[in-house]
Amino acid sequence: MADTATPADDSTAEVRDEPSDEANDFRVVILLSIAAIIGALIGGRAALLNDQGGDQLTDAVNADVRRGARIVGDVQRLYQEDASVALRVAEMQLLSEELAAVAGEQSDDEAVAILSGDAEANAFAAETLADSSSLLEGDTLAALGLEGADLLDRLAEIRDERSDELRALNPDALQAEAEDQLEASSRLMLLLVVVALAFLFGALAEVRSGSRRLLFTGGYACLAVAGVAALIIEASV
Amino acid sequence: MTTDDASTSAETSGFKGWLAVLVGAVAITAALLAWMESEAARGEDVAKIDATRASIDVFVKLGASGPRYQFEVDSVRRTAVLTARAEARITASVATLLALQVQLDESLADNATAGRLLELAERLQDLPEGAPGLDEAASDSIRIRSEEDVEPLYESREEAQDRAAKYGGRQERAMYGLLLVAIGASLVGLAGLIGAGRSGNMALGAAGVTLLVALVTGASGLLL
Repeated sequence: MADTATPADDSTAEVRDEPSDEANDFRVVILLSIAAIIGALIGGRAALLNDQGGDQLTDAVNADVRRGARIVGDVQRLYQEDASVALRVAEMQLLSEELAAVAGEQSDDEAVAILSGDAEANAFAAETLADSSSLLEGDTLAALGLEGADLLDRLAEIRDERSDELRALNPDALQAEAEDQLEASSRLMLLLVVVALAFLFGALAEVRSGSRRLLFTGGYACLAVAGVAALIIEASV
Repeated sequence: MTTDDASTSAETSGFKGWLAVLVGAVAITAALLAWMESEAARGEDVAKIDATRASIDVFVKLGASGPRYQFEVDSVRRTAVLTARAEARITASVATLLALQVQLDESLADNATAGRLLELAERLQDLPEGAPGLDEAASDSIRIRSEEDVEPLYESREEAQDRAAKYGGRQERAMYGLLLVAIGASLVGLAGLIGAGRSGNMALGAAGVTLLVALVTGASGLLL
């Protein structure tokens, strides 16, 4: 096998100034040990961030369920309680007004008395029911002027009555935070490729005596780049 | 130094060179595949969460829009009841003139009330886009009016599931690649133990091929 066909350069003539084999072995071990420590630190932090991100994703789902249940409950309260009562009040108030109107056009006193009585009964019932409505707050005429916007305003009020903890639920923000952590974890994992390059340089430095200095420099440069990048990523989390 | 000694020395040197390259390649391939696995796992996790949250969204929106729909149907139904009662008052047999007059007037009142109540019900159905202080999630949750409104939610969930499956496939291949790297690392170690020679070279060659297959396997996940 010819020397030129191998990646190794075993020419020893140019390496008179190079340290002895034992000293070189020691330098390689130091480089690889530092690489292993930096790799372990980066890998460990990546695993931790990945775990935190995963937990936070689960928190986001839990928050989404709680928020969803609260929304359904709030909407039920609006439509099945407040709006429903308001519509009933409006119906009785309108009927009262219409009965009073037809009574006003009636000439027969007895018929007027019956219709007016019926109108007053409906008006009284409307007032009674309006007192129990959070949407109307006792104002029966307010029921006649209700619009869709009033329902949404009331829904906002209902949601505002919830505790601070429930109001602060924001699954989207939790998920975004979790994704940031997972992304940082992934970037740290990518840095391990740079650390692995240091392993390659260290291993080659063991056998390529001609370019040891360059290979050691490359190895330490890789470790420095990985370390600095890891610190930048850490600062951004 | 004889010619044989020189040849053996060159062979040993070449063997060590390739051994060093493969040691580094093992580290780099393992790191690369670990990153691919991590990246795929991240994508799969997020996609699964998206799919889960899309499912929750379907239930919340259907659950919240239900009361609104029920209320609107009930309000229209009330006007129908009033109209029906107005008609019934006229058609019912009435014994005295007074009673007939009252029933007729009440029928008129019922009809007029039904018309005005219907206007009110229609105004209540017309919801603006939002309200001050009302969060978007709550406002959006009551907008489901038909099956077509739910369809985009299902599509969003299915898209997230497809994304999760794609990343899951990538993750599996990266994991398989890592397994091959482990085998390759063992072969590299074995070659180192055996040393230069036919068996050592074979072990080294097998390690190189294994690492190459590992890399290709991991990279093939990107085509999914």
